[in-house]
Amino acid sequence: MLKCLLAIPLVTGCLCLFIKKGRVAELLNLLGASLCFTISILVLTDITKGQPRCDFDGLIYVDALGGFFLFLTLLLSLAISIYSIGYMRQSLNKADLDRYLGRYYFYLNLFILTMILAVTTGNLGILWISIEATTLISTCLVGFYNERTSLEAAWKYLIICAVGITFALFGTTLFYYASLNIPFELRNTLNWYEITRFADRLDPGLTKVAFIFILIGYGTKAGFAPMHTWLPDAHSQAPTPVSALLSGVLLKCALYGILRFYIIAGKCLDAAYLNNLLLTFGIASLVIATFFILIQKDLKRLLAYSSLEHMGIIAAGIGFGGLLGVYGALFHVLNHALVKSLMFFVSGNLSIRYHTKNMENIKGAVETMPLTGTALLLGSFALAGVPPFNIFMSEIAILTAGFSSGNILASCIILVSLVIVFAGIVKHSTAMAFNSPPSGVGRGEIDGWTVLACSILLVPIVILGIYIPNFLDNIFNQSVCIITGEETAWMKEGFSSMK
Amino acid sequence: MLENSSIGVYAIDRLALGMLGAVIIMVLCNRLAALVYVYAFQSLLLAAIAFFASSGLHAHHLIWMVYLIIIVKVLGIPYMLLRLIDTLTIKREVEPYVKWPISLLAASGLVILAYYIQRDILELHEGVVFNHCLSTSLAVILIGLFLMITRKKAITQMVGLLTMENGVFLGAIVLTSGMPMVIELGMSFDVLVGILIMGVFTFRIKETFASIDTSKLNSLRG
Repeated sequence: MLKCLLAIPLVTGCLCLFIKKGRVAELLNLLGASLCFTISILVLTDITKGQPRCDFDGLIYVDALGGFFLFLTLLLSLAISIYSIGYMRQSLNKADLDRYLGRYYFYLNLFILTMILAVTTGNLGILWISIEATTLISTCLVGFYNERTSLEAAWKYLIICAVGITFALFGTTLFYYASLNIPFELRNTLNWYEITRFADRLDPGLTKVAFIFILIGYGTKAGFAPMHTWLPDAHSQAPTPVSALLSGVLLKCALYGILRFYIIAGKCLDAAYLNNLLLTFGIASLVIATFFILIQKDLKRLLAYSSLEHMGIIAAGIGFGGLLGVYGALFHVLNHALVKSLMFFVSGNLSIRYHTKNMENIKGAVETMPLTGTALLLGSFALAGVPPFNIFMSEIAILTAGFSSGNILASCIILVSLVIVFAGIVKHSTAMAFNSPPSGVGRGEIDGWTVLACSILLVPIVILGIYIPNFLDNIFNQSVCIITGEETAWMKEGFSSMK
Repeated sequence: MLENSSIGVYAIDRLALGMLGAVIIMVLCNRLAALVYVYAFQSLLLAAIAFFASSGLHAHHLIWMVYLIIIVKVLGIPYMLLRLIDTLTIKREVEPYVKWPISLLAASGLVILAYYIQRDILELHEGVVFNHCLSTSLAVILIGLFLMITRKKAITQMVGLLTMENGVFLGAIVLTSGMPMVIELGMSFDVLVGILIMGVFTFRIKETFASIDTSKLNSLRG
């Protein structure tokens, strides 16, 4: 099944490139995305029974943590496939729609493929390769419109992330070196679960330095301040469905990379050292983002800085540690992905209707586009952390973990920032939703597909704010066990029983 | 891992210092083509290091690494970069934000920093000697980064990035006798594709901005 998961995007992507009909490519892509999503659910139910899946001698390895990120990736890619149909038709030139659509879906599928590979591989080297590959492919998507600004964003994105990823490679090398220093039965393959098994024998000094390189490297990709400078540019210049994918999934994939190393390092280092590092980066991102959210004029840049803010909160949640902190952080990963995608979808609808991304010129959205306008209001309240939406739940969990773990100062900073961000986002969004629309703006939704995508996302946003379904709870709990290093049964009895 | 008695270690050590020398020459280069040639030379030194490591350290799979480095880093990438410089007919050469003497001073500062970091790691590893290699690798990475930050041209940024990668490869070869084969292949592939994509974007930037001066890419702010 996991092999299908890698094959499907590759096949659909290549077919989309060769088929010269845009309509066929759209449907093909949608079909592929729904197939992948179904498979990811099957894989996930299989994993949560207890045993991780392992294939190709550990090159493919999916446990509950990987399974969760896989589920997230494919859920979002399905929503984005639906949205892309409506959005790309409107945003591209009618004349060469077919040619551009084929190319767009080709890149999109390859991009999703690289992210699937990143979260399903058990090999730290392949993890690095696939995260580097996500940068390369998504650069083509960021620069897709080939305008001055999108070229600038693509170049900055490519260069900054390539530098970051080089640091991550050095960190990976140091981890590998540290694992070579242990005389044991390990086969020196860079397999995550083998290194984790003997991680308590790694050299602490070396691991410390290695983890810093990893954190800076993958942290660049995850959008941690002060390495975040590519993020607002890339998110604002990419086609809107891609912005949603970058913000909702790609940042999380990089975080997944950090988590894998965090687990290894956590076994031989003092937990406080690692947690303080994550906390520092988290709080820095949060504070910087808060400032920029207040003064922002461009709608998509506002959302990009809000991603930065939420990545900061997630990092802080893991940094607070404990069951509640890590649980809250993982829950927040899902919540932020859902809400941020919704908001990007809304911003795409608005920017096509109003022909601008400048928030000062977008007024009266509820009047011109009733459904999108409503989604804008609901989405921005969810994003700002208003109950009863899902983000409120995970933020409360993280804050509770913060106060109870004794990080009073950090928790207070988060609390204050959240209040400021709330004010900023609600101010911007109500100004866009109400008032009277500027003259010359047409009425009605831009496309049925875009409305469908928005409403699909609204359902889990509301439900998750009230209760967490059992199967999700189960996945979160198992992932928390993996991250905090509590050994599950299969880890103790060794890997011989594994296929 | 290196043992002190091995003959290869001496050669590796000196070659690594050669790589450091090459990167310092890069800091002083003021012609783009010369920069690319120095990069190719540095990659050649890297290939030689991989060769000595493979024969001296019983790491025979490293011999494939030697071929890979020669094909990709010594021949392929420099050829592509030279073609790029040629087609774009770049008039003005390397344009630094920082003046040469200050660059040199900064580079020497970075070397000292690298040695300082290495000493911290080394303290914990008695019995394993890699003399200058780890600090050289770190210094090459840091100076590569410095090149990227302080030069305006898109191509100099690419060379800086490649230099950083050379530094990481040096570390990987010396510390770990090379990563597992699959991963080496994947990494080289990524590097190659990355440079190709950067090349394509350099072309597009040249077309749109009529220059490859990245300091002109400044419209997105705030």
